[in-house]
Amino acid sequence: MRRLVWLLLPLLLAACRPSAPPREVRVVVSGPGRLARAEAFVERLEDYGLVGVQARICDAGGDRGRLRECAKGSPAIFVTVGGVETRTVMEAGGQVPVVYVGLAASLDWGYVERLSRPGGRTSGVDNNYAELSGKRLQMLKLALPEVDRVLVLYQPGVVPTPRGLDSLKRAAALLDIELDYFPVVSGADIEGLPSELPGNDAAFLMPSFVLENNLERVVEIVSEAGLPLVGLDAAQVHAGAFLAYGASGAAMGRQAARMARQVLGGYPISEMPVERPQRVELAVNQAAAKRLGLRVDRRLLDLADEVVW
Amino acid sequence: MRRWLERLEGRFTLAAAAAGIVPLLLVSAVSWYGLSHSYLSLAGSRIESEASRLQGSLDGRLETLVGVLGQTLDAPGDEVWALRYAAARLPEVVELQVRDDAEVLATWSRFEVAPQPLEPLARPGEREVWGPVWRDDWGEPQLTLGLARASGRFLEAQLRAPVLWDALVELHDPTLHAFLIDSEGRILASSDRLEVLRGARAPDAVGQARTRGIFGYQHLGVQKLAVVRNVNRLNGRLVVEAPVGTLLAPLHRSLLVLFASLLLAMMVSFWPGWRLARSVTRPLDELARGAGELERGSLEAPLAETGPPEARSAVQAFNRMAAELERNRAELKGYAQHLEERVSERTEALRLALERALEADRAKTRFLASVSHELRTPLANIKGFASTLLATDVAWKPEEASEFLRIIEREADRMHRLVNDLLDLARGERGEFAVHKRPYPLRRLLRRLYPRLTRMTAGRALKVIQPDGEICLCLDPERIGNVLVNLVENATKYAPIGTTIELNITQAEDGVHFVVYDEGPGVSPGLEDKVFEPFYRADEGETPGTGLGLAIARAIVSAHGGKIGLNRRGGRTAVWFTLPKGGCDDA
Repeated sequence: MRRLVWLLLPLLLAACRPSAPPREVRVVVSGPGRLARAEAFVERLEDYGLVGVQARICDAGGDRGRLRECAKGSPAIFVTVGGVETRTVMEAGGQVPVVYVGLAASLDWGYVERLSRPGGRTSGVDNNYAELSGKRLQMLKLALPEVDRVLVLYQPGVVPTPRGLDSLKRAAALLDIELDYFPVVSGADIEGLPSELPGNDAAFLMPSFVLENNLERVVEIVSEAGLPLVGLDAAQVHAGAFLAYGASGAAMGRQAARMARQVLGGYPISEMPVERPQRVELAVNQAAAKRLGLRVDRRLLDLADEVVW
Repeated sequence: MRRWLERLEGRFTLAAAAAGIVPLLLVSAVSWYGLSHSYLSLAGSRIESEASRLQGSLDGRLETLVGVLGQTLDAPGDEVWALRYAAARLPEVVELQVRDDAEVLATWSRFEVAPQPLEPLARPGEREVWGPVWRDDWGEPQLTLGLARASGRFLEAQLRAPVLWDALVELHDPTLHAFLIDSEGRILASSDRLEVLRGARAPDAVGQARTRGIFGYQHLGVQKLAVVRNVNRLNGRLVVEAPVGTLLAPLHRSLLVLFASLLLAMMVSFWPGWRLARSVTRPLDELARGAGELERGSLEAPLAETGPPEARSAVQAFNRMAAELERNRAELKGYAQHLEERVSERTEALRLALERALEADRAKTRFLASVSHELRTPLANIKGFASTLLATDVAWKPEEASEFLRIIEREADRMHRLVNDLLDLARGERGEFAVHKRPYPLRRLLRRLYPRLTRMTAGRALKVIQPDGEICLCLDPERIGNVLVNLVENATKYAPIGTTIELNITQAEDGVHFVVYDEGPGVSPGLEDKVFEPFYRADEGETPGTGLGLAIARAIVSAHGGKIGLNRRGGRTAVWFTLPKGGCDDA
């Protein structure tokens, strides 16, 4: 009898054993400008129906201190939705894999050795925003051929900025557009924008978490100046920008969810190639154009993947 | 393990469980085989169906691609906007260019503002040409396509193969894995984008497999089912596959749950079965143990009457049988023990009888020897002195002759006493000793004997102690006198010169006690009674005498109803006898 009890005991213990806590996938978001990517990522990850995995968005709401708090702990994976989030998590240390959703200029950050074999603990979807800067300027020129002078809003010291500005300058030379520059380091700097806008035909956003998280104010100031604003992606067009040509944040979120699933399945992130965006979309805000009294080339509207009326 | 099984005590249950598990395993194995076979057949059909769907989708996508680009090539007007429109419709496009024989007419890139012209691929006379696959900086395979028109216009396109695939692949079944390979087996597109970016190659078995029907192959230790379809346009192959283990996982889970349920049910039913079997086997084990104990000797305690009624009846019958056997065995043991005792007693009796007989024989021998010796000595003296007197050659003086005759007379008296003693002894032993008891005062007896006793104790003092007052005893004064003389004579023989011989007479309840004390060595312990046997000589004849005195004394005392004995008292030898009181009043 005693033997039988000893035999059954492990089975009973196994049956009564509490289930392991779920593995956390923490999505780190610096502010509202990038929340759409995070939500798309979480939605797709949940669609996979992974057992024992729980995705959680940690939104810092533009607060750097809270962002650092989000980077603490040891979840199964950190998912970052941009450069500042990736840098904060990487600087927090640890060995937790980091999958980024839309990092501009992956190689320039120093986290990735090669695109085909990152070699470290981070990989993800590069949004190509820096490389596409010139292409966005070309799209602006196709939409509004009369544009000759553009004010570039950029954040100095941000890693993708040099690559993006280089792309932009080369394109401007080809398109015969004169560029003017407005550096933004903090949200307060944006308030100086109105005085810089006059004399320009359009405003142009470079990748920057400060600008993205203060997009509403930027759109407001630029609109008040009667100028079109060129954004990064369709989400910014929905937020009031006139035109954007870039990877869909939501699409990148879904793309990164697939990568995160493979990491959760045991695939070594150091061996996981950095991916390009699945799709690059052109979005045009025809309503904003009308509001600004702009005449958009009809052919460009036909090219657009999305037109906001 | 064996010990553990023995401890289980449920061997029957185990056998029953084993008998239950074997068909269960057989049924499970057959079920698993049959269901797996059917399940894999269904899975194979599913894979084929998915492969057909994907092939149709891919062919359709390529057709669309070629069609849209063909329309772009054929479209009149602004070539650049035509290319832009085409790129907008085809997300897999990276770069497009239209040219004629002489120059590049227009280019459009999805990423570059001023892209470099593509290498000419389209050739006159070939409407559609698929060029080599190459990989860009990101590791993505790039397809190249060339279209030609009789008008001399050509179109070259660079296409992102993974995007082409992603536009197509929406696998209905997530357990399936689909990929597109080129003619060299390199994976161009896949439902797993990693293997595309890593530049993985398909297993050789897939590249060489026939394109009809489903087939199985093993790769990296994993058995897979696969279907291959040709993609003629790309000179490649579409592969849809799934690991057999993954396909069978739902079935395995169901069977595992079923088998675990059955096993659990068996384990649960094992408990009452084990209890039942134990209730049967335990009495049997008890019976075996009891039989073993009986075989070794006896049952220490009755067996416990447990288990079902039949088992209890068997145990009860065994206990009765054991009790009966125990009783019989005890009786037999008692009888044997009694018999041994009796044999021992008889043997002892025989031994004693034999000893007595031997002793009697030895006594007779000693008796004859003693008698012969006692008779021969006086006879020799008589004969010698008689012969001396009768000698004719010697003239004996009268006083000498008288001396010789007195010696002859003394020796004759000696012989006479010896013969009388022998006769007395014989009569005493036969119980025919003649005593003539009459009331006689003790003091008178002592007075009569005292001079004789005093003479006998020459060199030793004689002390007579008698109670005050007259004591009258019913006795034969001659015989009792002989006894006293005999005892004092005997004491004189052994008492050293100068010591005192004491005759102590006391009166007690049971009679009058006569004790003669001397300071001689006495006899060895245990021989006190032997001295009263005829001719027994404690010192083996060192002292003179016939050895009949004490024996005759015992016969005389016995004839008077008294007792006689010898012991040591206060360092002296005491020979005592008692005579009953009374008898004087009747006279």
